[in-house]
Amino acid sequence: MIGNYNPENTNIQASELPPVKENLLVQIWHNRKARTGIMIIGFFAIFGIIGQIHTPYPASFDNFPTWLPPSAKHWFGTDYDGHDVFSQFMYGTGVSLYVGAAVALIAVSLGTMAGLVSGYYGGIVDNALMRFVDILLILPTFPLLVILSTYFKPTVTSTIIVIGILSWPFMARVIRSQILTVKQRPFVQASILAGMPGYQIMLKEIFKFTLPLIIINAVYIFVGAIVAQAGLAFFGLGDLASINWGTMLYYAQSQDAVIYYAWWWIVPPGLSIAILGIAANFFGNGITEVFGERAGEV
Amino acid sequence: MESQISINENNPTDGTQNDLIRFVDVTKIFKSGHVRNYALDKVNLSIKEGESLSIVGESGSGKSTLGLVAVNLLRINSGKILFQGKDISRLRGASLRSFRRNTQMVFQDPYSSLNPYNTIYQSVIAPVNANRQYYENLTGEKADSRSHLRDRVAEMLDLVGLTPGQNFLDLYPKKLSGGQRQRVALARSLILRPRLIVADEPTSMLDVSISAQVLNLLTKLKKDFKFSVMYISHELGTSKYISDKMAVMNLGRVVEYGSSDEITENPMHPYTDILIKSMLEVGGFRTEEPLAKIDFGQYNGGIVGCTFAHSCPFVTDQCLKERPQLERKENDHWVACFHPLGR
Amino acid sequence: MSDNILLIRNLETDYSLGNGGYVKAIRSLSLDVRRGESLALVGESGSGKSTLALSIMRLIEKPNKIAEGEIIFLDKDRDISVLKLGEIGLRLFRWKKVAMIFQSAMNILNPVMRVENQFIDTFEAHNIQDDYNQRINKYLTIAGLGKKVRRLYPHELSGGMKQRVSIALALSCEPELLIADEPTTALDVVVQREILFELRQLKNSLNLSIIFITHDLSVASAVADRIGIFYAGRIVEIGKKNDVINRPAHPYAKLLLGSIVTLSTPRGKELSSLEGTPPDLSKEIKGCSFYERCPSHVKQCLTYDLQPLKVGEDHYVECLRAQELLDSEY
Repeated sequence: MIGNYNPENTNIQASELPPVKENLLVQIWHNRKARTGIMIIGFFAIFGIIGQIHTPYPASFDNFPTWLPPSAKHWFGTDYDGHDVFSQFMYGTGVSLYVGAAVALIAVSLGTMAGLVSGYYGGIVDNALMRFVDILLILPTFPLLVILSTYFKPTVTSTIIVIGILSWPFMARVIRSQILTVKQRPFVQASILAGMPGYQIMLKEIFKFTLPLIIINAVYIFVGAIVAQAGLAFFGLGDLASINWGTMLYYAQSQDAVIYYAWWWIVPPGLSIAILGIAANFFGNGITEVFGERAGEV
Repeated sequence: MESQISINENNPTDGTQNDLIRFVDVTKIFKSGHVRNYALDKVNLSIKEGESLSIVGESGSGKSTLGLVAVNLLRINSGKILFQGKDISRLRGASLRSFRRNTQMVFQDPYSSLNPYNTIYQSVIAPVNANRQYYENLTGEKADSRSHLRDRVAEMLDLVGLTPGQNFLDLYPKKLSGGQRQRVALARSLILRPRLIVADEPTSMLDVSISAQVLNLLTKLKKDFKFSVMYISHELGTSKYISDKMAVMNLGRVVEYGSSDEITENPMHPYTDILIKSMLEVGGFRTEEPLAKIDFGQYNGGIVGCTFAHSCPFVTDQCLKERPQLERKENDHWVACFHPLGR
Repeated sequence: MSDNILLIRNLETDYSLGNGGYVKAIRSLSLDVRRGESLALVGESGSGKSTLALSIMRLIEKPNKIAEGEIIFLDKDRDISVLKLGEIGLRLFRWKKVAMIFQSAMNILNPVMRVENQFIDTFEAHNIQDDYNQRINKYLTIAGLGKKVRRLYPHELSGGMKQRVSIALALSCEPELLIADEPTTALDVVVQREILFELRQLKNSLNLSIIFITHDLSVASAVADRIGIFYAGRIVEIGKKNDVINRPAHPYAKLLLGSIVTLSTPRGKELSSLEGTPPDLSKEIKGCSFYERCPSHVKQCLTYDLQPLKVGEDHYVECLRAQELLDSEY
């Protein structure tokens, strides 16, 4: 109450308002935080895609002099084996982002489906699903990742599947609880009275409330997967022949880049992971604000 | 067939064909742990075609529950709800959905009874979309073109006082004030021309002047559309203002029923008497005399005798042992009390 | 004039819109509260009546601000300028001089403390030295509660009892002025009447001054000696209860009275309908704020300087045509 002014009385007559439907995408773009997030993630995405098509030198070419500091010829210098770090970084960005996107796709599909089904049907289905989710949530994720990835043949795809399977439970939980909250609201009762069948109420009335959660979770899972994959690679797990941010950091660590003061080898992948994390947070906060504004809840 | 007899004995109606909705021994129990809480305890009531009935009572009296079971948003534990002579309390699936065209509800909180992500048009048109065929038969028009439906919704918005309706169609609820939202809710509930509108405290969250507008509107619409109203409120003033009939509820039971003028001028149940004396007038208290304290704290349902016995100034042994039934005392006045006032 | 307890002069309280703009919830408001009277302030949501209460208690927090004006509390021996009080002065001022009860009693009561401990906490915070036990019992009795309540937690009390405890708590430091912000709005009618009765009695027996804030004119008229009508951040009409209710002069007050439904309202009677919405308080308002919605406005209203006009003994109205309208109607 205190200090929270209710602008209810400042409502304008509807005739004075332009009857425009605000476009969701336009609204997201106009939000500063969301736009910053999108621009950073977009920059990496474009950079990574270009890296798949063209790099200054072939990413696996290793006949340059070793431990060269950054120069006009080698923007990020060279590593212990004579690779061009910039070319590796460019190519590796694509691989890392691919891992993130693929994991996000798997986890978001599984999480949304489980959340919707659980929240909508309730009862036994809900109970069964949620107990399974509980089990997955209780297990410490990273050690489990470590164990699982030792069993699978270490390829990029197997890493994606393992991380994907472990990333969805939290999201299912969040979406389910959102649905349970929204289900209580009188407008849902009004829809029941309108004669809408259950699945329509779910899709037309309730699903919209989970959209911001899905978007935000997708971005967090995306970044989380990149970090997880880098983490696995850093410990020497997963496909070490693949070039990505994780394996770059792994080799930098195992070949003592710190001792050679080869910061140019460590900083690009390390800093990128951090920046991507910040971008995800910007984006998430921005989306929350946009949807809040749309629903008039901010 | 045996319930047929009990209808005639207990139900405060003349039992004629023009009952729109009739509650027969309706019981709803909420269980919390081992406690069985009787939200509705053998309620018998009826509303005729075109009539409006106010259900008044304090919080916990079961009045809102009665509204929810009337539109079948809650299932009852026992009894019957006859809508135009047909029991609707156990309907399921498609037959339930087709019953729902006949009853609609206006909720208390205008801020959560509209989906914030839907435009006004989307909210109001939802019942039509779900009952396309029915709507076409009802209006005798094809309901397939969007611009046609938009015109119909705009007309409906005009009718509830949102003028010009066209300007409101694409707005989101957040652009509207509480009173305007309640008007949208009315438009949505009327678009299928239902026979019964259940209004659960529709003005209690609105400002006085806005509430007056909504009450004016409800009175006007009632005349134009000729629907029956079940008006649920803790507030006797508006209840009497809206309805010619009134039922007073206390702990899940109807304790008094009849014409609102009769009840408010000559209450027979001691509880109704206290309620009415507690109401305020512009100018102050209705009476300066001290009133009996009401304390329902320790009971929640399953009471043998009268629900009001422990607070009643006229209590006798009979009141504690036996449940008083709703009985006709005057032409249009029923009371469930062994020692009614003024007799 | 008569003995005043609180003077408010040209008060302006602003709520931040977050984009550098402000909503003027209270616009240059002046008001005298008399010792021993109960003054009801009636208005609709957003009219600024609760903001006034918060301003008096200095509960307006950043980025919102009291932009202008003065609030003076006339203590027995000295005058306290409320807006200039420091932290310690403020703590003693609140509760010992002015106490407040809210719509939801839980705003005052701590849900995880027994009732008696809440009293003791309050006493300790305000340096009260005498026998706690006696004092707790005294004020619980005054508020119509038994001693049993002392050992209970708030959730074990009914809504009415909670409000009684919060009244007892508010009175326990012997304030001279009690601000009651919609204290009965959340209660059932029977309990509402009991609480209003109680407050009226307490006012007389303790010689309290009460500012009673409500949206409901019938509640106001049950407890008040004087009634002030709030509209768009100002008091547009103020006077003795019977004058305001029986001879309202401001068109808004008249409409508000006509829109109330009580048991004596005939069924189907067309209620006064107030078209339009209140003005946008984040913008400059020229002249009378009710101009656009007013059925009897004239051109001069737009240049009206908002000086309250006297229309009767102790009856002031902020409307150019007040006298004229009164003469033509009554």
